Amino acid sequence: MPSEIITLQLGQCGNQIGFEFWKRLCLEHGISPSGVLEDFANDGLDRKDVFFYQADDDHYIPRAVLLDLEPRVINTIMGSVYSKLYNPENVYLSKHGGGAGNNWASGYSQGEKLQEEVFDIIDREADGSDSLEGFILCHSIAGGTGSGMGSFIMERLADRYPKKLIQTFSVFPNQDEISDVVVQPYNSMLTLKRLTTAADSVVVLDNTALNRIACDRLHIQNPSFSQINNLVSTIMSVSTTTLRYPSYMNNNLIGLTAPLIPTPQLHFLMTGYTPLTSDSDIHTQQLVNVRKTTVLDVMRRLLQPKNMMVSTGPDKSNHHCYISILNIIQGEVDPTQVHKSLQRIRDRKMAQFIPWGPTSIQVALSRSSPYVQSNHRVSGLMLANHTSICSLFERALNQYDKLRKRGAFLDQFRREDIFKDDLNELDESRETVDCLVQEYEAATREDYMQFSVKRGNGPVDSKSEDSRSVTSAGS
Amino acid sequence: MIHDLLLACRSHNPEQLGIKAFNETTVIDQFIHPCEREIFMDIIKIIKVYQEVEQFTHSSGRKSDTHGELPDSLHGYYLLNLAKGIEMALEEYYAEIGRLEKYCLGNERNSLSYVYNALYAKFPLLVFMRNLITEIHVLNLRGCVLLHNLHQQCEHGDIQLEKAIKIIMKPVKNAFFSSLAHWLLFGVIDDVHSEFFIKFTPTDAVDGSSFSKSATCSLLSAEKNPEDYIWQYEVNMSQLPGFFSIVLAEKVLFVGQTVLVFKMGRNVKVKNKTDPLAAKLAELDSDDIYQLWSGRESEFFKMVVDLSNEDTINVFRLEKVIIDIKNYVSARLSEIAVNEVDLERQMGLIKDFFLLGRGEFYLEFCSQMVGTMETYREERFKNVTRSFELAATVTGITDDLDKFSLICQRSTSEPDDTSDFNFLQGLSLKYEYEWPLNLLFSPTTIERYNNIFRFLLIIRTYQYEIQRVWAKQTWRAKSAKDVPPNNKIITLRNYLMFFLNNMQYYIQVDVLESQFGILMNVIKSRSDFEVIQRAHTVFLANVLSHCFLLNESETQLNVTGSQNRNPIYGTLLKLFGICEKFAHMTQTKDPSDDLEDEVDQLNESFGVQIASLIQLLVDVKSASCLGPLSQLLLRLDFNCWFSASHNTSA
Repeated sequence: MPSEIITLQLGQCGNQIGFEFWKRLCLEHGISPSGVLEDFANDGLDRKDVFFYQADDDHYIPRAVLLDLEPRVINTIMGSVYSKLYNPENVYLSKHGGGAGNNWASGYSQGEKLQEEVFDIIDREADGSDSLEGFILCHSIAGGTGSGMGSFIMERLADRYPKKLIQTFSVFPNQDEISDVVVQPYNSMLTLKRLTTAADSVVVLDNTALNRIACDRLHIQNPSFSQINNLVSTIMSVSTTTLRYPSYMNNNLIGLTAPLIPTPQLHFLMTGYTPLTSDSDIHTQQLVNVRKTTVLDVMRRLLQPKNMMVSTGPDKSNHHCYISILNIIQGEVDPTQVHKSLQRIRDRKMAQFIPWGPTSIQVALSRSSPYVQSNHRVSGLMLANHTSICSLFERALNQYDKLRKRGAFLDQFRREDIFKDDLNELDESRETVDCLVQEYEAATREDYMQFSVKRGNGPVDSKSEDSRSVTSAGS
Repeated sequence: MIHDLLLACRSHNPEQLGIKAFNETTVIDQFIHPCEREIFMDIIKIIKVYQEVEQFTHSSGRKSDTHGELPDSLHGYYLLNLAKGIEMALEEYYAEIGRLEKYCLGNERNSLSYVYNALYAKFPLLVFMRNLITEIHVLNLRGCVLLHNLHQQCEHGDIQLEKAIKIIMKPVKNAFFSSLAHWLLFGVIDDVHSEFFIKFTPTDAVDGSSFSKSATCSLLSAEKNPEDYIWQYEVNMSQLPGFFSIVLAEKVLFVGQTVLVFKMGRNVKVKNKTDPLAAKLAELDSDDIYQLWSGRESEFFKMVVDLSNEDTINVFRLEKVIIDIKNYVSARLSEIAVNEVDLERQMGLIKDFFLLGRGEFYLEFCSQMVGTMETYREERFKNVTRSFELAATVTGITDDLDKFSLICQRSTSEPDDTSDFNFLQGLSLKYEYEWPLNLLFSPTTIERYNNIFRFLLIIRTYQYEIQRVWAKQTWRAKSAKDVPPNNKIITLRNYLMFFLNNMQYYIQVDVLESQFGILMNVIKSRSDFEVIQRAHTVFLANVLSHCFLLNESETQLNVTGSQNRNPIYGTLLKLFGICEKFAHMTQTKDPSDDLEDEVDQLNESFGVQIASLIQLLVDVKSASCLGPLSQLLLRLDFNCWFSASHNTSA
């Protein structure tokens, strides 16, 4: 089978998300929790082999590598009804089990120490693929293992597999809450550098937005991690639907990603999904008829900020725009309805697009699983490259600057080798993320391609530099 | 004297001395009173008209008796039967002559006026028949057209003539309905003179002769070309009688072709020994036909015979009988096609492979043809048939692909032999359809599918190449961080990818998915086969039209002349050329020193061609306000990038 994908789950968040993802994939492909194909799942038209491989006893096993530095989440997974699903040899827990203490440097350092064992697993999994296309990495950017160890693994993946695609599903921290992790800005900044330099495509999952959606759209007062993770798994499964159910287009990760990322720097994607239902809603609505949602409803709502999984805040100057959009529509869709929707969106100027190149809303009419019942006639996922994603990075920069200015909470970082001599890695990360913000800002202007030329040739102009104060005060 | 005259009335020999004696000698004056001379001459005129008619019947009959002689183009089966008909109509005339003879022998005093009056009563009949024969000769009427001419004269005001024309027409009508019954029920045409309105034209016939081969030759042709054998039968428009509409003729053609399909097709023999008719048919080796008719052919045969036995051609009943037979055949064929052969699945397979619905398979096929995402092979398309089979194995769909095979024919006449485009244009997908879907997939139909297939495969291949360029640039941006990305290449790459993706989406969703949905609705609704056939024809015509391929496929002779080519298609070809050059120059191991200049030129060319394309689409769209063209235009120019004058970027 061509175009196989290996999923790497890192840290508590990554493993929780991954767990929900594999549960959903098993449901969609008719695979039981122990990896046995159900009797009803015999049409054989789906491509399970992209994400699963078949063992000698015909069991379906996820092409997944589970990595953590503390045992709690993975033990929960291995104690669930899905414990027999995974290849035990692909589960790696560090021996001491003490975790990374929500410290990027600790995670990175442990990743370096454990890389031989970790990459033994990854290499074995890659060797078992006929035609590996790339890796999908699930992690959080603000903790210790997902961010630090994830960063290390991303860098090594880029080195060891330079011709494989690296796509991440990266969970960004919740800005509306006081975080338990005080060094979260440092962790985010350091991870963002690796996401910029080592990843080919980053699907941004903003916990701020996820919580807002859970409260506003799903009417859950205090959403649990499980409910948030369920949202994320919806995004992950629908965004990979075209890889698993054959159609004429978007058959592989490159085909899916290439139109969305016109230049290598602009590879941070945001997602939206509509309509959303929680499990409790599903039980309630089983008595009600299936909603008569139309294609235009779905495509219009996907352009509304309230359905986006990223909180970008108000755009005061109204200059941010879409670089590209891919809508994956599922359900009973008449192709002519798609055309009418596109016409309507264009005529009413519901979306603003870049002024420096051709772009449009691509629509993939994707088949969905015949085994999973949906309460909505039509549903859709949006994968979008939008310049306002940089406001997320600006927020990270601001928070970083506050801490860095005071040199707060840096003792734990100094203890690790990467920061033993100096804190240059932190400041270099900040510089990289700042360039990323400027790149996205430039992408709102007509002369973006000229900006790229200048950026590539040397340091940015002093005019751009003046717009931002760079004060790296010592401790 | 009167007796001699009556003998002349029955004479078969125009050279008989009796008539000459009447004309040449002065003996008339001795026997005929001067008052009766005019009467006598009038009788002679009647006799001359009779002799013209008799000469026609005799000469036609005599020709058919000499078997060794080559058939004369003026004669044919229908003329022969016309001669028979006229001879039968003459029986009334002969009876009158006989009655006169008896009368004259019984009476001692005979009046010439009496004879004249009796003959004159038959004169209009003779004149009518002579005019008929003259008209047929002057207009060179033959075959079914001759029958139509007779049919038109059935509505005659004169009762005697009306009765006569029915007698004359009967053998001709029988010949027609006999041919019709044999074609409808057995798929047999024995028509050496090309007189029937269904004709057989072998595809390997070199001579332009109007004569077709006989049934034995057509059977030989069937063994040589079983796939397109049934498609060598077609409506002979020059022989279509006026009382037969073209639509009705197409139905007749359809029924006979269906019978041929059943005769040639499935080897499964179903013998019903309890049915004596089936047993008889088994002796005739017609088990397959029995499957079609299910014992009802005697019923249908009788319906056609009843038509033949009527005095005139009852056009309404004729139409009804044909429609009844066609409806039965069509329903039966639809039942077999949809239920037994699973036409839905067959159409699904065609969509998957001719129309590139199995995107993941063709992704693997591109990988096998031109190299994986990680490699780039200069020597491409090395063994394309092998690539096809390997892709099927890798993707695990060898079962579905069982009926398809890829054929590659190199056109050595092309000057640029190494062009990807020219190579891809030489590919054909061969499809072994299940019986009895021969009636849906004629060689012309398969060629149309191949036109679409090649068009889509070109887009798919170039799309794959551009995506590979994207992948390499993305990976290089990670590994070689100090080297700035080449923005000119990135810009043009984005343009080309955008163009190809939207072309593919337009064709596969806006055109194919929509049209395919309509076709599948017809198939699912259990319509009769003719409706399915027509829907399929409309489907293909619409797809070719909306893919701008219709002109090329319809006028193959003008494929080199660009005047008849769709201008949109011409522009697309140029854009494809730009894609190919770009993919090659950005991936080759030995890039040119002038790479940037070449990219600039390609960028400029792309700007010109895409502006031309959008202008053409705008023009065509304004001309025909409806249709999916507005969809393509909407996609290509969604953010008004190309329609605005932004072509001088980078």
